[in-house]
Amino acid sequence: MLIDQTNLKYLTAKYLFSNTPMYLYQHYRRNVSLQNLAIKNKPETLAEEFKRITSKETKSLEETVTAYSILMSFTFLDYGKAFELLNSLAVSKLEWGTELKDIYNANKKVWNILRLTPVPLKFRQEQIKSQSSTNIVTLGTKPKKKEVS
Amino acid sequence: MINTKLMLCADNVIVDRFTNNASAFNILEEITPEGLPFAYPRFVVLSILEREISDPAKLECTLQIKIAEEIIIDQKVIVDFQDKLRSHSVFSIFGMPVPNYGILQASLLCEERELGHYDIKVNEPRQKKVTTANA
Repeated sequence: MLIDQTNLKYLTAKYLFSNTPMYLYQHYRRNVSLQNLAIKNKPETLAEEFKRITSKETKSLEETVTAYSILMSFTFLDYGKAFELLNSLAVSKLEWGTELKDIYNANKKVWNILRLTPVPLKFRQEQIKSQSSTNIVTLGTKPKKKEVS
Repeated sequence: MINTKLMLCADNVIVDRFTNNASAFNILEEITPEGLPFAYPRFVVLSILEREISDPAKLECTLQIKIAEEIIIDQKVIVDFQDKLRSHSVFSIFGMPVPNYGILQASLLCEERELGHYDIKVNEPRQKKVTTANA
């Protein structure tokens, strides 16, 4: 089972209470279990399950909620991957599938996140005056050992 | 033409995974270190760029951080707009060395054109006054 019973109950309640696609989108988007669904399962596995459910003529309530959950879990993926998956699936087979996809496309922001670790500071110590020493800091060079007389 | 909608430096920038909105904490304006040089533990640059439809979706930019004309960071970065006209970038630098005092400037350059910059004043280290008790 892709979604545990506790979360499935919550998601089913939200689905039954939704009177607009935006309401469903916002509440499903805030559900951590859907975020975990995307992280813990391969997108291909989820896509297969979505296709299996939507190919049925008659779907149970649990299956419908699972299909919507899978669709919303894709919105937590990297935008390129999510876009590719949402376009490859027959989202229109769900009553609000197309609307949810459109809301995602309209609200998605593109983020570029980069982490840098600069070259650490290296210290080079040399004695300038006979009675004192001065630390000279040079970035990116190897420390030289000097004998202090 | 590419325009900068926002550029700032802060201690931390987080992106709400559910709403895709960003929040910046401890926006940097002035730093007074205890001594020089020092390493700033976490330095984050937030940049929001806007493009026109005729502009390319992927930009090869350079993130440059310098102080008193001394370049500390000169890093090539890719800013990807994908199919949107606005792109948000968060560049986190852990342990950024600051060798001197002056104006610390973080800039984003594209083909040698400056897209945006943010200045932070790094003050001279505080002079500690030592007082001795009379005998």
